[in-house]
Amino acid sequence: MTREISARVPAVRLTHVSKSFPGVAAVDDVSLDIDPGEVHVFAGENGAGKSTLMKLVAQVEEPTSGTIELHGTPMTYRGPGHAREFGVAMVHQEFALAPDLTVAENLFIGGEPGRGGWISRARERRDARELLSRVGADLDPGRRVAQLSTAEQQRVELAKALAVDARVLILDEPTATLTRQQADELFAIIRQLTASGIAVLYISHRLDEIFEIGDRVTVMRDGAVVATRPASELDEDALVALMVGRNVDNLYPREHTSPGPVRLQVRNLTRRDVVHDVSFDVRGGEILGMAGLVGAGRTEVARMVFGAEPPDSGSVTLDGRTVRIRRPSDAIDAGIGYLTESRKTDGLALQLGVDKNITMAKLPMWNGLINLREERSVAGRHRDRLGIRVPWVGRPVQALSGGNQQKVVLARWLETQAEVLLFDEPGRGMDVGAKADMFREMDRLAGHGKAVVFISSYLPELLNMCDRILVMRGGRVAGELAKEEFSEERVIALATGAKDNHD
Amino acid sequence: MTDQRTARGVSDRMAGAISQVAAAGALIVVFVVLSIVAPSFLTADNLFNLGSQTSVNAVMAVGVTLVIITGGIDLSVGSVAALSGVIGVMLMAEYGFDPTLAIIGGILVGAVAGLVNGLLVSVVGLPPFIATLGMLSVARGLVLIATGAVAVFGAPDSFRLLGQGVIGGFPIPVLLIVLVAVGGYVVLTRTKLGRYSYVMGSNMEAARLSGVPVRSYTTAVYVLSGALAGLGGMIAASRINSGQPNFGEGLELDVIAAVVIGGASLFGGRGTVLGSLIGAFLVAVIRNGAVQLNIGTFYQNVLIGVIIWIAVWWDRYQRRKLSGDTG
Amino acid sequence: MRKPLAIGLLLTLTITAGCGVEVRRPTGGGAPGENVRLAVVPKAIGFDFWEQVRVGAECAASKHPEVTMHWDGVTSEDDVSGQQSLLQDLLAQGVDGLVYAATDAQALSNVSSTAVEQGTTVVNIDSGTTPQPKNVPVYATDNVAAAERGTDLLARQLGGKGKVAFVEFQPGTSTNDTRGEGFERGLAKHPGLKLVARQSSESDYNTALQVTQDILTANPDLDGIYAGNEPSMLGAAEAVRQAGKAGKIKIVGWDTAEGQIDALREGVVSGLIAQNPFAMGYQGVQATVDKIRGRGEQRATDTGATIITKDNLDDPDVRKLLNPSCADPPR
Repeated sequence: MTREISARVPAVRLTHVSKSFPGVAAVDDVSLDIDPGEVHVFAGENGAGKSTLMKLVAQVEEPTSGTIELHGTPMTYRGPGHAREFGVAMVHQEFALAPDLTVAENLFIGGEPGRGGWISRARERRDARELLSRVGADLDPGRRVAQLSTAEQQRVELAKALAVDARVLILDEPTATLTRQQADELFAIIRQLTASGIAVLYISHRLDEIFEIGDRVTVMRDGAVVATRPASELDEDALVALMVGRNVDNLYPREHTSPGPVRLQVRNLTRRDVVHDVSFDVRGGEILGMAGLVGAGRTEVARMVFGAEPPDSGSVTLDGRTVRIRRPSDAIDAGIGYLTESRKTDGLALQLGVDKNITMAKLPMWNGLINLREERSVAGRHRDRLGIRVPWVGRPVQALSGGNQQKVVLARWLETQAEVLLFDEPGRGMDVGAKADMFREMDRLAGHGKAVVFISSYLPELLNMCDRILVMRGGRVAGELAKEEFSEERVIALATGAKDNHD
Repeated sequence: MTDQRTARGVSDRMAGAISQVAAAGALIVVFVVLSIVAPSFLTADNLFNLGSQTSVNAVMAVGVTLVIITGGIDLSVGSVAALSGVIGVMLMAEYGFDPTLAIIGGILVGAVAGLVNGLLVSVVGLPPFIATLGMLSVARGLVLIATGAVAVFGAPDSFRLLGQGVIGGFPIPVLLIVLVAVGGYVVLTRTKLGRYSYVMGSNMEAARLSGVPVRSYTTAVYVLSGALAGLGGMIAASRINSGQPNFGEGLELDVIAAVVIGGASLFGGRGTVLGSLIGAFLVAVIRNGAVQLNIGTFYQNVLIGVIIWIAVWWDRYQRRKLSGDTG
Repeated sequence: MRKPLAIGLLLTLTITAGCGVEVRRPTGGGAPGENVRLAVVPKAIGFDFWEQVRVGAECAASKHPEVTMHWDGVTSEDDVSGQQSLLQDLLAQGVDGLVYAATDAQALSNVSSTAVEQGTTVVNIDSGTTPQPKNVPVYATDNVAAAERGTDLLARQLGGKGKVAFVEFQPGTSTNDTRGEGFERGLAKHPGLKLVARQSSESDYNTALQVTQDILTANPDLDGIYAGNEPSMLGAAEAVRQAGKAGKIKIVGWDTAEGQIDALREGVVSGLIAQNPFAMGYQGVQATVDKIRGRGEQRATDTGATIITKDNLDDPDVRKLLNPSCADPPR
């Protein structure tokens, strides 16, 4: 859909906007117009400046120089609480909801209906229902937010934006935790909102989405705008080239595909209410994908195999030996490694250095003491091999971009020389270049005969990288697809239990 | 591109050392001021006195640093120190123990109290604040029961050596500070216990999922803190050659203050032995100097409180400034 | 729906609780033969001084078979709120008589008046309250006068001139401040004495030691120390001992714990101001019982102080004072 260049007042106009922190120019002289009713996608690698730019528009941070105009009015920075006055609302990746309050309470924080300090609960509920219906959420406003699913919480966030009558809506990686179907529903809502004139600023790493929902795309690199084009004028390769500044030959490098003998055998894994009688094999040299809706039990299976949670029953056999895994250290000793679903929550010690995070599961010792020098050189080796961008290995991990952080996690498991690796949503929050590096590593591991399990909610990844795909539904194995049978429709059919329309 | 990265690298190293620099800076300033204003301050005698006076707090601060690094806290150290001191003296006075054995006994008492704390936290799952708060009461109660609320005398004179003895010109308590500090440093930087403490404090779940035996190490950390509290209690008892049931009331706050001033984060994952020592000395120097200048206790307390505010604020401010946010 | 229910429940509970909290009236004791329950509460348990108060109190109680005495206290003399709670609990249990030493004169004054209003007989020992309710007598030492006498002794021992330090224990409390006031009056009478330091030991032995050490560092030519209570004196004595100046620096101060007696004999300490805690306990309890029975008049009384030096340490009267027992009470 092409947008006419109109003489209308732009929803957002950025003029020579810059933002610097000590020693770093996070946003570098950006000038840009965003039209009302447009979905303007911001693409770029991690650290490119997209999030910072959004924070400037959302009044979370103040620009070091330059002006930002909203519907023709220059914005004076007054702090995050005042963004609503300018009609700007931002939905972050990690939602900013109060989990213990109800939906209705969350919607109107700071603008509760009522008089003189008293909150009118009835009106609050009524208004909440109305807003929720506008974002297609069939929710009881009296429910506590903590009880809602991720997708439902996101709808509440969107409703919040409408509650403040936002004319500019900023969405940061909104589909990261959604299924395909939920993403489609979100896009439908976005289109509704833009039809009413709301401008949507959308950050995403998912290339197919960018083309699906975006009207125009702005690519950023190192804080500056590289290009702004209508989505129709770009294709995947061109977009990636703009983002990375070089040609990324292959997003999904898969070369070594000769699976060997079965190495991991999981039998009858069961845990009440979570997982039922799950059995599967993984060969050495193969990448087994695990697909399914959020909540289907994939992460739970991985955690049970790894010993993070005990199953009620079931067995795990590795290279012919049955292994008794009751806690993570058992799994690690047996040669299993697990990259968790959300690295910041349970994967990384953010305050500690890269080196310390890498050696966390296997410390190099010398006479009972930690061998610090060896630790530094181990970290250095992994840094070079995986391309972790960090000036010195002692740097606290929280300073790294998402992609580099994930590489640190990978390095940890490489260091344990695990023979079986469980990757749980490894690509989440990673930029294109880093993701390609990660996939290349997965491929290399397969090439060395390791057994790799790849859990993901993003089907293109699975379809391109895996040799087989196991689909889970409701805690059970719904089906398995061999490479020849790979198709998005088949996976979705198994994952949702809908009738399969194919032969 | 590279310039940005290097700049960040340098400022990072600085951020790490900033907190210690801040506290050390404050210590130096106070030192210099006192040397000028109080003529008796900068004498060998007074400095050794200062060392001995700080020894109890410093030794206990090392243990509490370890606990705080894991994200926990130990509110019981004052009461446990009193309990150790009292039992240690009783062992000598009523059971004829040799002072060395009694000192070991006192340390063991502290270790046992620490073990209880550790098990309550790691196995029973009580929040450290609650577990050690309970131990604060329990230990104090045990002290009163054991002594009938009356001080215990009767230790042999040789017991005084621990708190009052001198080796090679240095007071033994000062040597103990050095010993414990060096030991603490080695533990924190080069042993699994130390490393895993940082990891657990920074992200407990990540530690567990990396195979760290979280329960064992958490317990160990409290045992260590208790044992060092026991040592502190014995040093204090030795300085007055008696076990005082009222000793150490409120001491845990002084110790925690020292650790916080030294740059440790109460959320865990950060802290150093050197920092905590600096914090302990800062508080002690202020008190020592104030008495010599005839400044009353109330003013001392206000001053120490204000310094805690400034030290922690400065630490946060510097970290935030230097690690700046980028998109 | 949930909220109105909760409010209703809360209201009901509050009303019921409010009714219940009305303090139980004391069960009487006016008539002879009826059981009299007394509570005796020192400033803190754990010091010799209060132990002697207890001996005296129990002695008085033992003379009246129908009297039961309950001894209780907090563990630290500056745990004001703790003592307040304890007293309130005892009152709620309906004791007939309350004999106590106030940790803080102002904070506890309305405990006394509330108790009196509900019919409990209240007597203060050692430390009263501000204001002191009219019908609550105080049996205590006249700290000011005794302190002055102690200072006179110190002056005499120093030959009328020298540098002195004051180690107090709880500035702001009545006991501490009256002992300080007496000391200051004494100083005024002996212009040759110069006060060079005044620090608090916070009633902690270790702190007294530390503080005295630092005073000595700043004033190496210190001649005398005036100590406000037992831990202050013992800590100061220890510091003097460790500095090798035992006997050269004169120490005069309050209380007569075993350690202090030993120190006096040893010569590290040169004078003790002895109160008569036995008398406080005894007379306090006796007065309470008398009041409950409606006998006689109870008035504020100075239980007296004795200055003890090595010279009179072994006099029979002093010995009775130092080791009081019910069988052989001091005068």
